[in-house]
Amino acid sequence: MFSKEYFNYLLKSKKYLLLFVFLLTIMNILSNKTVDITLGIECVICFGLAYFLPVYIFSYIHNKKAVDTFFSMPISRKAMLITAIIFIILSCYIPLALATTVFCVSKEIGLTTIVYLSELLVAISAIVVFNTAIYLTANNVLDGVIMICAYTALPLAIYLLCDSLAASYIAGVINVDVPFIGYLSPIYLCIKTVEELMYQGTNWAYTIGLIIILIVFSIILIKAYVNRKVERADTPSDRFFSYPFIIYVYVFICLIMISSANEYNYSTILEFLKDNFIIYVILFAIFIAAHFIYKRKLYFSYKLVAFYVAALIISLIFTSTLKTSQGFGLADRMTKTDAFARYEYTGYTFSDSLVKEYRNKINNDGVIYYVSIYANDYPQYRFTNVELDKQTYDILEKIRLNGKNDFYNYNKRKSSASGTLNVITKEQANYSYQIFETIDYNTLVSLAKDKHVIVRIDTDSGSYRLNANGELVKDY
Amino acid sequence: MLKINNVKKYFGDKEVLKNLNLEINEGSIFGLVGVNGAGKSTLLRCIAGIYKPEEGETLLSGQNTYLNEKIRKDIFFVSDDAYYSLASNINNLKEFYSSYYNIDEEAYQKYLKLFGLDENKQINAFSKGMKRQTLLLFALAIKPKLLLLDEAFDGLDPIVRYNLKKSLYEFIDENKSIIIISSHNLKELEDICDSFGILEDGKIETYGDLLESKQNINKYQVAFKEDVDESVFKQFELLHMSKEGSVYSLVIKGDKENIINKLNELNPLILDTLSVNFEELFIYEHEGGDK
Repeated sequence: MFSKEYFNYLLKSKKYLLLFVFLLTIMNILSNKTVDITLGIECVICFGLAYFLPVYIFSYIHNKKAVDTFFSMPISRKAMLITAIIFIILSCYIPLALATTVFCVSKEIGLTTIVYLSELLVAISAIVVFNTAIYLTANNVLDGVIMICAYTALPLAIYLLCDSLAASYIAGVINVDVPFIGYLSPIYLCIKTVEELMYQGTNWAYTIGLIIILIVFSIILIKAYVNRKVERADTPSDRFFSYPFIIYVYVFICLIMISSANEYNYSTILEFLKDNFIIYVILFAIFIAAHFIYKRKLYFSYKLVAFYVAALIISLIFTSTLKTSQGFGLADRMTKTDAFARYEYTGYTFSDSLVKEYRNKINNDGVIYYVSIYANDYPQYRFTNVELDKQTYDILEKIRLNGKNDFYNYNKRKSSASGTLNVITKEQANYSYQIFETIDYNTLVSLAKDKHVIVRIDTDSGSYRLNANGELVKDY
Repeated sequence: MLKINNVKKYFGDKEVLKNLNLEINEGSIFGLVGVNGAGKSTLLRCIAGIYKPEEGETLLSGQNTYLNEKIRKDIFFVSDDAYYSLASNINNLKEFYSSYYNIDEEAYQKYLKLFGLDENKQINAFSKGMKRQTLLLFALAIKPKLLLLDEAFDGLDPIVRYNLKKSLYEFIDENKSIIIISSHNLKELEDICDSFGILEDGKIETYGDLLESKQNINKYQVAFKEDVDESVFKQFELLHMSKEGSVYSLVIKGDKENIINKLNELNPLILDTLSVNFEELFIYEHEGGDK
C-alpha cells in the first residue's frame, strides 16, 4: 500500500521545492507579525500547495510519454497513488502544523492544540484528496486545472443561484441560509476549521464534513486511479464528470439565474424572451466556446442546440413554477410564526393626511416625511419579553402581508416602493419586505398608542416623535 | 517464457488487438513487425503492464504482468518516445530507476562508455538518438528477463546501431532473456532476430523462426513456351504473382522441393529459384493476408 522507494524518490526529486516551502515557513514564523497573521499567511501557503502539488506531482498521468515510464515501474498503482498522496499531504501539513504549534504556544492553548492539529490534518488531507480526484477526471493538464477551478467554484455558484432564487421568489427573504452548500466545498470547510482555531472554538460539524469528503473522495480516487485507462492521456477530457457535466451544470445555473433575475418583471414569457434574446445568444456562444475548449476544435451539432433549448425551457418552467407557487410555498413556511418579536419600518411617505396634519405644526414646507416605526425595537434600547398590542400586531402584519402580496404581483403594483419593513422572529431570523402602500396619519397614531412602539418622523427641520395622543414631540 | 493468451484491447470502439495469442521462449530475440497502426506499440504496452487488456492476459514466467507488480521488476520497456522530466540528467534517472530495479554498476559503466553519454548533461539537450541510448543504457544495466524495445533502431546512426546490436547479442548470451523489438527497419531486424511475428488486423497472423519462415517462402521465376492458363498456379499457396514478358515471378509458400517438382510438371523453359529477405517476406505475407 505504501512504497518507501517511491516516497524517497519523491523526497529527493522535489527537495528544492520542499526546501523553498520550509524556508518560507521559517521566514513567516520569524517575522515580526502577530501570530494570527503568521498563521493566516501559512494557511494561504499550505492551501495553495494543496492545489498546486496534486497538479504538479500527478502531471505524469496526463503525459503520453510519462505514463509509459511510470506505469511500467514495478510498483502497484494503489501504492503509487497512496504514496504520492501521503507525500503531498505531509508537504502541505508539516509547515502548517509548525505555524499552528507556534500560534497555540503563544496563545497558551494547552492540550487542545492536539485537537486543532488533528483537525488541520483532516482538512489538508480532504482538500488534497478532493483536488487530486477532480484533477484525474481530466485527460490533460490544462483540463485538470480547469476542472479543479470549476469544481472549487461550483458550491459558490450553487449558493449564488439559491440566493438569487430566494431573493426573486421568496417574499421577505433577504439572503438564503443553506448551510449544506458549505459542506460541498472542502476549501470553505478548511477555512472554517482555521477560523475555529483562531477564535478558539470547536465545531465538529466542519470536521465531520471534511472526514466524509476525505472518505468518499479517497474511495473514488483509488478506484479511478487503479482502473484508469492510461492510453487516454493527453486526449480530450470526455469523462462524464469532466467537461460534459461541468459545462451543462454551469450553463443550466446561468439559465436559471437569467430567468430568476428578470422573469418576474414580465407578464408573458414571450415578452421576457424577446427582451432577453441577446443575453441568451451570448450564453449560447459561451456554451459553444466551452465545447471548443473541451474538444479542442470547433464543434457544433444539433444536440447542443437541442440541449440548450431544452435547458432554457426547463429553466423557464422552473422559475415560473417558483413564481406561481410563491417560492414552493417557502414564503409562508419560512415566516410561519405565532408573532414576530420585532418590527422596524423605515420609509418615505407621501401621505396627504400626514402632510396636512403637520405642515403648520412643524413649520415646514416639505411634503416628504421620513417615517420610522420601531415596534419592540429602537436604536437606543430594545424591549424584551413583551408582547405588542393585538391592534399593533394586526396593523403591522397587514402591512407585511400587503408587502408580500405586492412582491408576487409585480404588474399590479401602483407605485414604486416607499419603504422597507424588517421583521425579526424570536429565533432572530430576519425578513425584509418592500412596502408599496403609504402609511397614513391615523395608522401612525394607532401604532403610537402602543407603549412598545416608537414612531419617528424626520423632516428637513428635525426629528419628531409621535405620542399616544397624536402630537409631535421634538426628538433629540 | 512469455505467454500471451487471447488478449483483446479496445481504444474506444476500435478493437486494436483481437484475441491475440503468442508464445516466446527464453533466449529469443523476437522481431515484431506490422504496418503503421497495426497495434505493435499497444501490444508492447500490454505486455509491459501499462495498458490493461479488456480480455485475456500476458504472463511472464506464469505471472500476470498487469496485475503482479513484482514481475514487472523483470520487465523493462523502452518506448519509441521516452519521457524525461525537465532538467533531469542521467544521474537523476539512475536515482529514479535504482529505486525500483537493481542496476548492475559494471554493466552501467560499460554501456555508458560505449554509448559515449555524459551523466551530468541535461537529457533534454540530447539528440533523439542519444535519448534513445540513455534508456537503452538502463535497459542493459538492469538486465531484465524481458526487454521490450519499441521502434528501437529509429533515430540511431549506423555506428550506434552496430553497437546496440552487438550489446543485445551479448545481453541475450549472458542473461538468456527475451527481447522483443518492434521496428519498421526490417533489415536491422533480420540481422538480429531469430524469430518474428507479423501483427496484422489485431492478430499475429504469421510467427515463428525467421530462418525457417524465410526458407519456406521462395521466389520462383518461370517462363513457358506458350502462354499458360494462370489458374494452373492455384494449386500453390501463392503470395504474389507478376508477369514481365513471358516470365512469371511467383512467390510461393511451402516446401521448396515439392514446389519445384510441381512447376517442372508444367514443362517450363526456365525455372529459377531465389530466396526472399525479411522485408520481402513481410511484404508478401502482408499481400497474402490482404488477399
